[in-house]
Amino acid sequence: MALAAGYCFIVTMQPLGSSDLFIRLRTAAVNALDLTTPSSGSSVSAFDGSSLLVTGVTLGYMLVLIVLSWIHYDQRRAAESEFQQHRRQLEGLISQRAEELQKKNEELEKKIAEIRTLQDSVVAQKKLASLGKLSAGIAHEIKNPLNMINNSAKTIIDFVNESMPGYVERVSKYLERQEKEYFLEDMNDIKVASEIIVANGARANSIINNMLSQVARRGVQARQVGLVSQVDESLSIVYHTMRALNPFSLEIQKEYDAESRSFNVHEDFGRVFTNVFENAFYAMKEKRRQVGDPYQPVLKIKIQSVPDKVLVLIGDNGIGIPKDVLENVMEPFFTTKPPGEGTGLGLSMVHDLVTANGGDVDIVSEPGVETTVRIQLPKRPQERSV
Amino acid sequence: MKKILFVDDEEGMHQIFRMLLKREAREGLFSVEYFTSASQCLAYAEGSSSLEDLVILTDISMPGMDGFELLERIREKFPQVPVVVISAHESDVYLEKAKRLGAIAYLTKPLEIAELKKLL
Repeated sequence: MALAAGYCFIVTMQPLGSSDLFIRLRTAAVNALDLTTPSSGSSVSAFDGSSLLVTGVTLGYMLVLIVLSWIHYDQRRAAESEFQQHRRQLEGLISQRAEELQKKNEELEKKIAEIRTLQDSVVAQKKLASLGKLSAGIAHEIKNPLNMINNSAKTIIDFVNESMPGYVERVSKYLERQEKEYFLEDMNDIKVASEIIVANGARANSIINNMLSQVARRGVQARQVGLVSQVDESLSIVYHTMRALNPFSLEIQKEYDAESRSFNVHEDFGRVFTNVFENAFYAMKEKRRQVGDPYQPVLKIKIQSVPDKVLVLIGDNGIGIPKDVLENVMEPFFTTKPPGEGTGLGLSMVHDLVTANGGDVDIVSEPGVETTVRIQLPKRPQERSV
Repeated sequence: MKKILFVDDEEGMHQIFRMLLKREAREGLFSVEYFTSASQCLAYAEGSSSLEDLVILTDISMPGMDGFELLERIREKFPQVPVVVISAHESDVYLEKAKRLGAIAYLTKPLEIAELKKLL
């Protein structure tokens, strides 16, 4: 029984009115309310406890259910969010992995491309090296018979010049006019023919000596000379030779860094630079022949020290080299110059000497615009056989 | 009498050709004009009053106009003039090209007297 603010609730476990106790309790409550709060109207409510119990139990059960399902829901939500978190983590991990794989893939593709390029250049270098070896071998083989031809031709020339005139004079006395004319012509042709042999034998000999000189010099302890002075010396030789043959004005731009001044090279490098300069001057001379006066030849020489290497860049704004020619320029005997102007051995020698010293040489060219020869030399000298 | 136009940028070859066919020349079978460039030969042919007895013998590798270009121009302008191509290269590619462009023969250096005689 509750008693508050003039209201009284009586709850029993039995149906209303069925018990004396209930009636008495109700009366007592009414009286008690009258005593405590006489001024205000009082009321007494009585409830049937049994139906209330059912309601209570039901409500309680529902409450429990609600609480349980809430707990369940909460747990599920927690599990779900944990699951989502895991999923996100996993997804993150997967995409990270995929990204890594993608990167690795790209790196591998790059490496493969690099290896292919390297392989190509190794094959090309091997080809050049073997061609160099082969031509040196052939040169040796040819040199012996050629020497015999040249020596014999010289003997004939000596005979033709010294002894023959006397014989011819004496013999021709006994010949008829027409016969004498042919005889003199024939004797003269012996001289002409032997002169042709001597001249061309000397020409062939110089080609072979050119080829052999690089082989012969190797192995001999060579002097080391300053790179910068070697470049300048070669430039000076080629410049003055060219100027004497084809006078034209030329702008020379030099850019040598301080560090490269202490770098030394094999003294044979003079031939390397002379050759590159000769090609540059030839390209500019040709361009001048094609374009005429508006053309301003410019030669750029750059010597630069980078970690481990020294770079020598020699550029000209001459006729340039077409792509198909560029692929072959370093092969022995490859030339585009008319007979007598080039043996096709210059750049092959440049390539052989540079690589024999552990360096590398390549040429970039834009036909009609410019050509740059790039020579890289290692700071630590290393000998490599060719 | 046949007139041979001999084209080679190396003058030594002119002498050699002359010496090789000296005897035939003495018999008056032909005369020879020598040129060191294809353009000189072309100019000579263009200025000739009679093309009937002309025969051209030309080297291939020459600065400026080469032997193949000369051959083409001659076939185009004077198809009645026979052209013989001479080269130091024993190359099938050159041989094919010479035939395709209409050369009557392809000779390799060193020149053989017998071959030259047969041609003439």
